[in-house]
Amino acid sequence: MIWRGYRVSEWTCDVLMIGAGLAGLTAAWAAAREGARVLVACKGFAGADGVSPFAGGVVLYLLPEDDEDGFLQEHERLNEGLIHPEVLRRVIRQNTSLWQAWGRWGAPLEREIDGSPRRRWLRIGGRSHVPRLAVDSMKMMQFLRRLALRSGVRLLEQTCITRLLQDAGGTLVGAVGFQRQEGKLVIIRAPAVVMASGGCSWRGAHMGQHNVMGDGVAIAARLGAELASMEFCVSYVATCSLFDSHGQCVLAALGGKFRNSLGENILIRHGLPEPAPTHQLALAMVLELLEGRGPIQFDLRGISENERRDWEERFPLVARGLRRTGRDIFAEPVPWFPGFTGSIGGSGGIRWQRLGGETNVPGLFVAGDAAMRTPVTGAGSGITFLNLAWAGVSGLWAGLSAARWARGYLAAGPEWTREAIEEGLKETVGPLERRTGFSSRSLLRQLQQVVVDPCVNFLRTREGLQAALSRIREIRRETEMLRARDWHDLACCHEVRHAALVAEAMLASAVVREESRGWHRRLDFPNRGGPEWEVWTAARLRQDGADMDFEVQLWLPSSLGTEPPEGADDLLRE
Amino acid sequence: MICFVNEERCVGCGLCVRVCPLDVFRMVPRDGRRKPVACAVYPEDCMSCFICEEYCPANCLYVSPERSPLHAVWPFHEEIEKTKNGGNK
Repeated sequence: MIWRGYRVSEWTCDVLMIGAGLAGLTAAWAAAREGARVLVACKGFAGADGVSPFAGGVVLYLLPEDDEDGFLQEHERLNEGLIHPEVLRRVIRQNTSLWQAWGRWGAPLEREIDGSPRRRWLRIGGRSHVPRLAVDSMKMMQFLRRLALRSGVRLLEQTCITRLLQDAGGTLVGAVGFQRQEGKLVIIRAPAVVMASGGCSWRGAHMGQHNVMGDGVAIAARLGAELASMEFCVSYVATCSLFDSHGQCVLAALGGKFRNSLGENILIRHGLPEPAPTHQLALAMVLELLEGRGPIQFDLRGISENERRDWEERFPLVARGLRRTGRDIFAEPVPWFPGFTGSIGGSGGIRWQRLGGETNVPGLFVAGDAAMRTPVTGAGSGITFLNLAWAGVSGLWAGLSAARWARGYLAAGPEWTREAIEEGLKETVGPLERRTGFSSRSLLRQLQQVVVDPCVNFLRTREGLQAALSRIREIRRETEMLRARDWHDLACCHEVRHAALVAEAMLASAVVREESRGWHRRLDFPNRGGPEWEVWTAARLRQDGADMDFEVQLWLPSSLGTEPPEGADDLLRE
Repeated sequence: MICFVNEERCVGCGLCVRVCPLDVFRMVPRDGRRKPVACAVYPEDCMSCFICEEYCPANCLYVSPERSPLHAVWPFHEEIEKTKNGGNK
């Protein structure tokens, strides 16, 4: 079909999956096994998309004989509360059966001689012992791609979704977007959508996350979905100054030491455990640098040859990059700095109401980093071991419930109006048709200037946050005047547009939480609040004449549904 | 963050174009070549993730590990640039 001179391809499916990382591909597979016709739309290549291929391959693997209560208590303490124990317990248990099933079906796990997944223990993020599996993340994603394709999932790659479509009653009916390499528009008719498009990195200085720009979170917010716990969307991970590397938390768990220019161990200086939870380490690093005791060196000389080999196997791409720099980080201390990772290590995202990923928009489901993760990771970071567990399990559950929703809805058939599609397509090609306008790169820089400033995202004050918020609002208005040079740049324009909206939600939520915990540090409220702050924030976009802003409310964890969709274990029993 | 393509070795399969998470590559025609060859047409978007290298069947791609200089909006960017080149002293 041709629309105003643009080529348009039309698709119909029962469940549209947006994003193809660990969560998206798991959800696609689960929905297909539940009988739905599934279409996956992703910006990259399914199996090498999102942050999952770089996720370090350390997955929590708690067996029934382990001390689950002990793990939960330690986790709650280190991540400074806001965890929902019942939800976390269910995620941990489902995660074990999920990985057991994947192990049986040939997933690239490290195995014992008898073929069972090999468990190892790691003192990660200050925890006493985390039982974990060792996974080759890149191969794991290829395995999930094959699994999805074998179940009949169709793929629409290098495709950016720009808008979700609703019918007159507010129910979801589909989406529009574009394929950036072929330069054509895409219309997808779908009664159920699973948003698994990842978090928002604001293109931070860290490996493998430049492609996650909060697309799904912003698109859902524009549709009226609530965003929860956004104030925790400001994570940092220590990264090597030579090269955007990750795997720091594993290196620290193996005995790596961070030292300032005076040679002091910075964790000891700040009275922190070794290894420290990521948010505490990041704060210590930022303070050391601000107070002029940088650069910070990461001393890995105490790590044995065996441990080093194991790390290199877990992080083959980082190891390759580091080898090519010609420096041996294990032989000589090398400067590291706090690399900004936005919401990837934080816990904010689209608010879900039940464990099937159901949101307040009928037909919209969420999974992975795009979904709020506070019930599982609290105010701190899930680090790799819990974030991967959440991605897989939330994907499995959201895939199942989306497939069931679609089945129930199909009897009536989704109704959409020509006007809704027109409006969506117009918005999509807007930056291409503008003759003058801002460039995506310059607005991205301005956005980063606000978001990446440690005083805005880590050493927060009411005045600082409000100044940043009004600046972000200006930038967000300017993103409506972006001009794209070509289809490739069109994707960048929409990414900047989305990332600006996510930043606004993040800052608006941070103003409301008047206490400090986890990733949210307020200089004007330096202590952790009392029981009245054991609540989560929810930001909802409010149309205010021609403009809009976020209205932030507090809500109680007790309102969360804790029953996962039925039948997940049956699916894994085959 | 620059990606070098050895055009002599490129077999023109187009896999790098498909797999790149940031859409850095396009296939472009070259004189004397039957098939278009890979070209990093948007190198400034490369994030050195090595995915193209992982997938390339002809081993004709090389991703430089060098971190491109951090833009001035980055906190501590001067310090980081200094440590990158000046060693760890």
